[in-house]
Amino acid sequence: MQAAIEGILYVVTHFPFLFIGVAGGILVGALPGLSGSTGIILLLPFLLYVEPAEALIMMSGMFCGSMYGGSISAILISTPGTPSAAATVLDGYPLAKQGKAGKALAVSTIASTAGGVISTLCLILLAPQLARLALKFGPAEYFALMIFGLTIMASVSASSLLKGLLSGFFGLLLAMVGLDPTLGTPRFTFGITRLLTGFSMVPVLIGLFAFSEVFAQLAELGKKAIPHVEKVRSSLPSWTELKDLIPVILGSSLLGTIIGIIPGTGGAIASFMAYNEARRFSKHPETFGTGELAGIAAPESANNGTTGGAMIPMLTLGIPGDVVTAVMLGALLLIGVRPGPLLFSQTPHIIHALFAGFMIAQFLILALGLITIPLFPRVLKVPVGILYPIVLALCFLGAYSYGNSVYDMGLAIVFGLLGYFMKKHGFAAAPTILGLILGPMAERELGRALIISHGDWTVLFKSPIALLFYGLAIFSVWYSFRGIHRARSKG
Amino acid sequence: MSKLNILYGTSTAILAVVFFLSTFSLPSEQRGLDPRVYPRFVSLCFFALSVGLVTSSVRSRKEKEKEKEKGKGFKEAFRSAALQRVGGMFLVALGYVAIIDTVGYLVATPPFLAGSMVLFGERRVWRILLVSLLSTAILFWLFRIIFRVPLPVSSLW
Repeated sequence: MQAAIEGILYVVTHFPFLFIGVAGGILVGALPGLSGSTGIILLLPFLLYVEPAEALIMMSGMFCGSMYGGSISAILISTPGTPSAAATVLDGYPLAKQGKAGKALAVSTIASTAGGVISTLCLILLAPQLARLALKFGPAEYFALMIFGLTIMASVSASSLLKGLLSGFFGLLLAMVGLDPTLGTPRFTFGITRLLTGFSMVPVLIGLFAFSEVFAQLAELGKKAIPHVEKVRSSLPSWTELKDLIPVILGSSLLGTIIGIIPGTGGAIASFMAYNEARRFSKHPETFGTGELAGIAAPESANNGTTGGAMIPMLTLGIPGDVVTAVMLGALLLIGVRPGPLLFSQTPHIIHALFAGFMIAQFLILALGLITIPLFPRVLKVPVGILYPIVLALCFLGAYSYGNSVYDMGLAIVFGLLGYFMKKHGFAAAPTILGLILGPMAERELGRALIISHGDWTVLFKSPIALLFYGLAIFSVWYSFRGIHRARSKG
Repeated sequence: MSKLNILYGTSTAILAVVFFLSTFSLPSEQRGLDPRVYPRFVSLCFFALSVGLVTSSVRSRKEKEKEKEKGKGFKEAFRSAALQRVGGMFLVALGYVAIIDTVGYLVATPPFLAGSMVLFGERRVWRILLVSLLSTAILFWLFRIIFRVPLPVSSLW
């Protein structure tokens, strides 16, 4: 109880950080082309100069805010701000066309808050238990866990499993450049002194996620004019409407949380599953797709439900639940916070502040969302000619400020171009980041396990927990392969 | 797309071979994990996946047929215009990185922002001037004064 109060007090006294995170997240999520991962990258230059707990609550606010923000453009301009809001378009935009954009946005705000609150409660209840269990892990178990983590590459591989795995192994290859973790001897530096320290995470992250997105937006310039909803009036749903939505919101929030806990899934899968379930259990399934409020409430509570869920494996095991938490994991490592069970036992104040921040962020979303509804159409009108150049300038500052190095700025722009071509030709960037983050950890744990066992490789397969992770890894690859195969056969 | 996939697959296969061959210059260690084992495993997997991409692209006739049906014309023209814009932005950004250490943050950033705005289709001069100068000043104030980041200063004056 005392810890909870301390956490709440910390967030209250550091409220501006949470506010910047949530407000920035809503903005970033609402603008098509920018996503939660880009938002966290844009925060990087600031994160480097604040306390770890402040950085964590800022990133959490960004994560939750962007997840909600995606629904704004989905409802107003039929373009999901983030992939997680794709299902919201189905009923949100028809409602906006009927002149009920205000009500659609209000339902989305309430459902997002409910989803966020339920998933935060699960996070608070489950994460410490899982962390306690993870304290028993040795190097062999950690190695198996990293292998499982790396198989997430397959699930975030977009349309081609082969290309996704290639991107992932490219990340593993990049991570090997620098000094060998066992002997400290240089490897794959090809005589270039700069490469002795390897590829710094900051320019790679900024390049692959932020610069590439700016390039993609530039390439798409002037491609299509989106019909805009010009004016939105605040309009809350009636009590009867809200009462009908409660079972949908509760069910979808729980579904979203459970899906969020499974590494490699994310908000997009959760929102479509919740939408389908809501339609299946509805008394009027035929109204879905024509402007049904439950068609907004279900995906929005589910995708916000994934936020707390995705944080559970990331915080306790260091395994990201989705793309945004993968970027968040990279950012945490940069500011010296290593997620894992020790984070809970050695720095509990950070965890308590995070829990409190996550919960307060949900209510902040509710307040900001409902108050600012009439302003949303203006946000979507921000000229790209102003927005993206400023994003670029911020990205350059982010790349520079980590090591005060112009070399990192150059590296970011090169990785940006690489990321653009990867994206353009079906190679997802997320697996590269996973490889870059998890690869060195896997190698280090493998080295430790083999030193302890005096070079006996069977040590990797003796522990039941390690075997469980190998089993999960095989299942994860099989499941992704099946999903892609099914999608292809459907055409 | 399949031709491009063959190109990508071949390039990554060459990269894998370069990495694999480089492992021979790494020292050997009997205790624990030999420093050559993990890099060899990763480069071999990378090579196998690259070969997989090449062979699957050679086999996929469907894609080739689709490509033929698509034809060229407007889409191609659009693509090249898009590529020119991306290339232009890459050069502007590279130029910015090249001069920032010499002329300093305050001098290099406004022309970079102005160039980017023009590439993003902004044509109003007053807006370009206002946004590029104002954003540079705000970012400089925020990072140099508030966060005390030692932003590049000119080595000329």
